[in-house]
Amino acid sequence: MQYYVFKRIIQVIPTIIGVSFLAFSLLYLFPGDPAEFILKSGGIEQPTPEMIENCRIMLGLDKPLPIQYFNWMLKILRGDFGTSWVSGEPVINEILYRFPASAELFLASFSIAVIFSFVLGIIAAIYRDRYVDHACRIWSLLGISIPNFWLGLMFIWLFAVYLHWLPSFGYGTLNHAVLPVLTWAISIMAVKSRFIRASILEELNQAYIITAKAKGLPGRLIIFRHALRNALIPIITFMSLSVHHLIMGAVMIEVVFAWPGVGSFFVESVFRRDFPVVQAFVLLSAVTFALTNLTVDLCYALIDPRIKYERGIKR
Amino acid sequence: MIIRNKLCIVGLVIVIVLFLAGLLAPLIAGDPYKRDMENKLAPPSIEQPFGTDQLGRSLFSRVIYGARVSLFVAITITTISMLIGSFMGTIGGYFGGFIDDFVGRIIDVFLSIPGLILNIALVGILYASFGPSIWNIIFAIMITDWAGYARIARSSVLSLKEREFILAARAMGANDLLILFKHIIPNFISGPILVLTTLNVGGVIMTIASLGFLGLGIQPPTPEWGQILNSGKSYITTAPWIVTFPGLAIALAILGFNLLGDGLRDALDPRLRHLLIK
Repeated sequence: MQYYVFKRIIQVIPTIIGVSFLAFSLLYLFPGDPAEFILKSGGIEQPTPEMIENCRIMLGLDKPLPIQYFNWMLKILRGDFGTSWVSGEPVINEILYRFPASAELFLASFSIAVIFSFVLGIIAAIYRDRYVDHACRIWSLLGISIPNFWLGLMFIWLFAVYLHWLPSFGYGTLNHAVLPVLTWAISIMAVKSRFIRASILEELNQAYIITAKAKGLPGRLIIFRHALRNALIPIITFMSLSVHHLIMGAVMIEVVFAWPGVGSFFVESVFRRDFPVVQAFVLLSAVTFALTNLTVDLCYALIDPRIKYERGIKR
Repeated sequence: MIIRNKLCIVGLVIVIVLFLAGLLAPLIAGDPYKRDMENKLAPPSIEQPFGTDQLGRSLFSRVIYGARVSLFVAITITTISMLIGSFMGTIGGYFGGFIDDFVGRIIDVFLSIPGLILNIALVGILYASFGPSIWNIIFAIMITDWAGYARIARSSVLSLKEREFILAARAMGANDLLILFKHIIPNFISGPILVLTTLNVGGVIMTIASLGFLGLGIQPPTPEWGQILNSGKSYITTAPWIVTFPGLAIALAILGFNLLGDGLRDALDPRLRHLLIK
């Protein structure tokens, strides 16, 4: 057991190092001299070569590349993601300051989406190949194909412009949250409900279900007590793998509804060429993904004795 | 099962219609750049089926030409990343050992960064370095897109190279190159990679539209669906048709490729469902 936990943690380290190296090297695609950019955005119109040189030394840009990378990593491990080139504040403070808004939006949308996808997925599995199932299939096909930002725009038009029921964008009251949460929950639900249906149907083909049927258990009981419970493992894995989609979804939804979260801050920072913020966001989103999967894998090892500890990385 | 096949046909029809719209755009639609300030923000009518935008350009023409732009960019990206990804995956899977460890690690790194996030960051940086160019978008999306192909190619090669017909070929004295090009590559290209490519075109169209919507994609005046949504969203109160039709076009395109890809997957090998689920 300890061996498995140890091995699984060790496996994540090369990925995180690779991701950090990629995020670090983004700076070398950046045009011009970062030192000059920082001085200019600090209000100095024509920095002298001497000032630029001093700034470079201050930032450590005069050192060889591997040393720069090493120093940068050491800082990040201490929670220092550098300072924003635009505001001059530490990047981590800027991100933490906007984090609660993103977390509210995420928790509301995700929990609603999970509840409804279980309901839809179970109904579709029970009434397999009947009209309800076909309706759910078409609903989820549409949900996958319709871009969430466009759905958001259409909802803004319908509920804010046409019906005047809700504010079209902004943050603060519960009313402001309705449209972003609704839009995001619908787009999360589309994929999840299909997967939940498929996982339950998969379990229903197993031998123990035939046993349960043979001993005369009613159908609902088979689904809820046996199939659903066993299907939870693939379902939770799938959800942990969807961290990517959630981060990308957050960015788009926050931009559409001008929600003052981390995602819209990231896009603003790309436009303002606030490089350290962009870098930190890329790095943090990849690390979040790697750590979520690690946690889920380790939890399985704890709760499900059937999982053999030699199991490799699930992607 | 019948509904699945029907849906696959629907997907094929949508994809064919899109290609025709893209190829025959000059015959179907008028000039997408022609401004007519007299008739700006005009609602849909007989002459202007989708209405006009804030510069009086025909939205119908812009949406039709948008199919050409999106398809061209999406197919370029998909083809290049399919080639790079298959190459990397084949090398890793076939030769094994430290080469495979190395390739596997790179794939892991790229798959653990949310694609769109790296795309946004890269497009922003490339824009700042080289100015607006369609190639920035192609390059940025390609960088994140190849890893999915590499993963599928690698796992296909790993299972293929243990099969009897490969052993037979080797026993008859075939060398690595012959085995790879004659036996292994044709086998997975026509199966999982074909399915992934079809589904991926839809995904790339979504990414292009997302970048366009954020204002980071293909720049105006070139008509691109996401970018039309971006410039039209300020007129949503007075001219909602500007944001309606390009969005429908994006959804239709993605739906088409998804249905076709699902259909191909079921026809070629239903077991792929596990491999390709996103």
